[in-house]
Amino acid sequence: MQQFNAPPRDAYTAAQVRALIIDSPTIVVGKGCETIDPDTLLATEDISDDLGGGTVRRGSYDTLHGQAHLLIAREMNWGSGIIRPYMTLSDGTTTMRFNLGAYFIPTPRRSLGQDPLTYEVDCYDILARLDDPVGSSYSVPAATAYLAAVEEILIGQNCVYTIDQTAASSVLPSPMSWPVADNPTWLTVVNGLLGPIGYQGIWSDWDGVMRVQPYVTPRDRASEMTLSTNITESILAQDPQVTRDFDKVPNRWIGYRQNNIDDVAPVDGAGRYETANDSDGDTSIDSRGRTITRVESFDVADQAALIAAVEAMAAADMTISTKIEHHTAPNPLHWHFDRLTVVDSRLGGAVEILDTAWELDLDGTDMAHEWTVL
Amino acid sequence: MPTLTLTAVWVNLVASGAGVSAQSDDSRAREYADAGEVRTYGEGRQRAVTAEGERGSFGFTLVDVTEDEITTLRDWKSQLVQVRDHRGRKFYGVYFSLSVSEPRVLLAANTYTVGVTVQFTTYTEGS
Repeated sequence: MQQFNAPPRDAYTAAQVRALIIDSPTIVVGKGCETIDPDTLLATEDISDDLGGGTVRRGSYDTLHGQAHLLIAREMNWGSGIIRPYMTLSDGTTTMRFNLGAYFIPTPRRSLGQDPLTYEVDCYDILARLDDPVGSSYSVPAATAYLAAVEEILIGQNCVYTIDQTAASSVLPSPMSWPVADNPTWLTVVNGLLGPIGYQGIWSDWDGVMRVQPYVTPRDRASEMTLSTNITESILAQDPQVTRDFDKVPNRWIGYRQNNIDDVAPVDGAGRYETANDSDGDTSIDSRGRTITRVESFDVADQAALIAAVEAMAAADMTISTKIEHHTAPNPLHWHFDRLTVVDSRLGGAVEILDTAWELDLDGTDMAHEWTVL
Repeated sequence: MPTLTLTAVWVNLVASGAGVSAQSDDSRAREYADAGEVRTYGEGRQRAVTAEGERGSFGFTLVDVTEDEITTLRDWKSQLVQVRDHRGRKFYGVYFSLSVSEPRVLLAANTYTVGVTVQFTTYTEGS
């Protein structure tokens, strides 16, 4: 989720931002769009007068997380242009702006019978910069720092980025390579380098900045926002759809380190890690009355990274059993794998959830969400 | 002393300045509206959500309009026009349809009554 009072809302407190989104009895939704400099992500021109509307969507499990579908009534630099749509919310006194990511605009579609010209444009996450094939085999030698290898790629692909340096000292114990036969993309390589050090896949933020940071299990993350059906602050629509899927959900996980350079069989604590869900929730061993095991191998830097990878796998498996499709009032703070608390008696009270996909209509229609219960 | 009330309306095509003018009846009406609604959320909370941007329109009925003028007004559908009335009001907008009918009282041979609703557009003079 976007930081509540990050720029361009830094003139307000987080409480004021929350009050506008949640508490205000009336909101007026505005839309805008600007072109941005591909090298700096700074705005070059505001083209809001030519924005006819559209939607912004994010699927946190998608390869390219962000998409937008916009109506633009002007010629653009379709081949290389990058735009940043935004939404404004106002209560009549205070107006706040929320950037909604940076997108390439490569597929304008125009109806020849329409005048003046208006393009329907499918826009793709600026992360697409990394989705180009490498075009050859790619390898990173042993003893290279993982994050340094990632940064070299981001610089080479002309990305604006920020990297959490927690794992700066982690180096490849053995070379990693991506053969040309697999047609790797830069995104494949970057995420392949981040996995072994317990980092989440790279993603782009609301301004278009690429973010590289450690993975934290959703259950261990603090809730970023509470959505309640309390009559004074509810922005939850009245039609949640709940789907439960128990099919083959594991409750025991075993991970092996497959790039272990020591010529010894992996054992617990040295190349092997096992965890189980004994009693937490409906998919636990206690609840199901049986053990369902998943075994995976990982390219990881050390035992700690193996543990992180197995815990991440377990957390992901445990979250797929209950999905909720819900609508809320427009909330342009939503972003990547948001961690939320939903208090709704129809869902059994307070539920901890992960917002895995959402779609925001720039004209203020209630936004759609796909949530997984943690 | 008799009072002469001018109730003419002038319609000009902005692109060329060409105009059509006629007397109008007294049904001239402006409307302004926001695209908003009051929505119901959990536990019955009622909350208004509105899309930014006021929509406005000006409806009027021209009387004693010739067939040639109707042809001109038909050509101007969907194009930016300026509308002025005898009160000194001026609006910019477009209309997408004309409602043409025969007058109950014929003022001149082969003339018609024409209903128009101009929907306002954002326009800056001189731009």
